[in-house]
Amino acid sequence: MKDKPGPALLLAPSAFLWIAGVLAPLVFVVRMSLYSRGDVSGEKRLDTLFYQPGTWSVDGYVKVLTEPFYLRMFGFTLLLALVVSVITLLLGYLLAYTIYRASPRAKIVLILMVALPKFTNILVFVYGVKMIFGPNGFWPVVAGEVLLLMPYAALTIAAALEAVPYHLVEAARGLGASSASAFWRVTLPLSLPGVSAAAILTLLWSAGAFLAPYLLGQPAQYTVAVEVDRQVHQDMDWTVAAALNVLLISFLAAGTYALSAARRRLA
Amino acid sequence: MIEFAEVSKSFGSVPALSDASIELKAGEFLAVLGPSGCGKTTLLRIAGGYEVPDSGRVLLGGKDITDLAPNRRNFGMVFQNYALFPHMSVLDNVELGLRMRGMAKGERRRRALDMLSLVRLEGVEKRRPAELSGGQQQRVALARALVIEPAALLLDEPLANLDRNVRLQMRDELRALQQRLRISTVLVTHDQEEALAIADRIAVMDGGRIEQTGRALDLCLNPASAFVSSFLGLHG
Repeated sequence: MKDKPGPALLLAPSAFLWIAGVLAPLVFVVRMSLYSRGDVSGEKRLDTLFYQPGTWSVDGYVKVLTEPFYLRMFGFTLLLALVVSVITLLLGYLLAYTIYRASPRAKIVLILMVALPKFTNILVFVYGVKMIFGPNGFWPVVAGEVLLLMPYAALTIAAALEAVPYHLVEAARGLGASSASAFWRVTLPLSLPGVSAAAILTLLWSAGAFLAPYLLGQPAQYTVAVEVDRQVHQDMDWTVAAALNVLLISFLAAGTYALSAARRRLA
Repeated sequence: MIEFAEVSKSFGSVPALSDASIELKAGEFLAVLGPSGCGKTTLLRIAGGYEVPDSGRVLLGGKDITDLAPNRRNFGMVFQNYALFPHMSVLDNVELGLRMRGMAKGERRRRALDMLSLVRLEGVEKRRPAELSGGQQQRVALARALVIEPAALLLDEPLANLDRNVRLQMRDELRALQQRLRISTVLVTHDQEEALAIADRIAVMDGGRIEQTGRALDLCLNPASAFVSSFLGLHG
């Protein structure tokens, strides 16, 4: 009799991916946030410049959580994520609805048009946004993020709308509903699971926004991700960079959990 | 009541309906019978306002309703797969039409519950459609269509998705209900036995044309064409 591979063995590839690709980097980041900060005074030695190996300390967190500069930055990052997500979802829904109502042939063309910008190099794309929206500032950042995220939101919502049988809308119309109230009472509620999936996607993505704030913003629009990059490459304070990261991830994990719970109630 | 005057409709280059003329009389139960693709569903969808004919008119009590939107027609439509709203309770499904007519909550609840008991469906009003059997869903769809006191009832193969036993029972109930309410009804079906058993009059369709209209007995005794004869299963 041959030995069959046990269930554990079948899970091995996915377990390896989870551990090597998700868990291990996360553990490294958390550990990094708990070192003593690098020794930048006096004689600069490379092995203690970024952080001090072998030490334990919460100085990184203390710095991040006490300095108003960082608190404002967190506030701005979340505000930006919120503004970007709301606009992206509204416009994405509009695009998705157009796809939903299009003829089968037009559907393919529209989906291609939504996806097409994703074939451009992201730097070229962002510089293109810069040319359209002018001098750096808050709204160019928002526009850049919205345009980057809209295809994902639109296609996610379009998939959810595709699952809403059109004869339900017809049934509502036959019962006396105008096209607006048929949308409000039937199409919209039935597409909400897709909207909440898209909301999770855009919130997570825009909270981690780096490129648009960095290239289209003033320092006032720099997000946590931009600051992480600055800490790593300019201030050389890796513990603070890691602490910023851990806090951002925790925020987002809590937010995603809340949204997923709401999603389960919708389903 | 409802009158189709030389109604034609094509989808692309495919003609679905060619010069169809037929009248549904007040209080009558009319079955539109034909094989799939014969245009019978298109005829019903034009009556409901879901398709606009390429030519010809649709009249309701002498008034032209050809271009009227579905929500301005006041017909009770039952779709083949019932088209119940999956996110609403049975009661909310039945109440929607009354809600759209701006009826107060108490009144519309009372009427919805009355209608549910008329179709012999009680005690499930809080459930979602997915929790009901096919026969129960069918009753909800019927209650939802009837509660708005429609000018006519439009039924698109309403019994096709039911098991045989349930189908026969629902067929008799449907007929009894129609008789009791004296509501003008169009039933679209491909099932000869169903049409013969339930309808006052039958219109036999083929290839987008109405081949013959008449009482069951007339059709059987004097089939107008070989198609009518063979489709009704008559031999010799």
